[in-house]
Amino acid sequence: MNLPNEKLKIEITPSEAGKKAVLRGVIDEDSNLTELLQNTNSLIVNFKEITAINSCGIRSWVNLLKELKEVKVIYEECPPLIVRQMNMVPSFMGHAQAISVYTPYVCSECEAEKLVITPDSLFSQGKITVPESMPCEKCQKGVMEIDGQTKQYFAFSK
Amino acid sequence: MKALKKNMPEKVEAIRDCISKAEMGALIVQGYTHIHSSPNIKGDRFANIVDSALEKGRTPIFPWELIRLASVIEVTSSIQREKTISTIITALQLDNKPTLKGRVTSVLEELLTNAFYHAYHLPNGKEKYERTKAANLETTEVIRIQFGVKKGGVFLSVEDKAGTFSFKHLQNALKRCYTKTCPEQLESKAGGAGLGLYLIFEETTHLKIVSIPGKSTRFCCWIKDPARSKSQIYSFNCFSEEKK
Repeated sequence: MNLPNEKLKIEITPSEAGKKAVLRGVIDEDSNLTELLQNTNSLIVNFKEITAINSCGIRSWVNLLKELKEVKVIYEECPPLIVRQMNMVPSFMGHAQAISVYTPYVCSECEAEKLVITPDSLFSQGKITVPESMPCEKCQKGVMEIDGQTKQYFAFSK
Repeated sequence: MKALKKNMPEKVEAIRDCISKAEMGALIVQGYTHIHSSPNIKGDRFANIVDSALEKGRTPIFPWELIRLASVIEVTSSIQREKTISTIITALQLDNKPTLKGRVTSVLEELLTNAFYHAYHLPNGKEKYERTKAANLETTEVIRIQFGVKKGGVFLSVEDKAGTFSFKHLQNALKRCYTKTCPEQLESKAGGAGLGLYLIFEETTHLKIVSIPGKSTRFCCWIKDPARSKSQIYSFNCFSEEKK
């Protein structure tokens, strides 16, 4: 029995400079990424609703990027799980450019977690000016700080 | 302590200190099987536990293994993999901790994939279960998962009954993945355990591998909760025991 291939949904729409692909679900060995091999100059990939990626998914993605070497690839709204791959596997980033990522913050008082969309103006070329902390809206007592090490989180932007 | 001896002739029996995961990876590639990142290895209680165990020829149990607190699940089909991971995440109450949840999910996924698809071999040495198909294990091949949570992090353990892991696999994987141009591993369409082992190594705070060739392999991990600890202390220990 072959495994089902319904865990990843890809929605492609025209964008100003080319095309935009919104990805939803899981990138793994069953993912069919050929839909992303678009005849376009520019491809924006929105990762916001990716819930998981495994080593086979990473490998498929790296191979896809190689196929797209003539295309300007832009990553937007990358959640922490994608940012981790960008940091751990340099080929996952390849020639792509990240224009926005989600930065995780956690409250020192109530441990509430929050993802804050962060534009590349705050982390481009290794110059990181992302706010280190902010007041917690939930408990209104504690301070929310970046979850983990800021430099490590934005290491991909070197 | 063995860790502080210079020019150690027996890498396998030496505890080394290091300052980063990449450096730890490089030491593993050189052959070191016990590495602790403590800035003061003499005062590192985990390194002391290993040192004492090595003197006695035993495999130590670390406090982070949460032996008394851990729950157990056994699985025999790869179809159960996603449901099992979801069950464990819920049991560990990680749904409100997206960062830790992401790390635990990723490590479990890779550990289970390795156990299902790369641990069991045919007599000719080829992998028994194909990566593109569901793996339905025999009753003697059951995969045992242990998990527990405590303030500060999550404990996971995945054990197969094959015992085919070799330290050389890990060395090769880390050698490829810590080299920036690592296309041969990433571009392989046939798959392989290399990238998965690298991801497990990168995502875990403490990693202990116990291999009994021909009998079992057990990966034990501690994944710290970054919300509670900004500490950069981590460790790696690989033990090989004889089949009894």
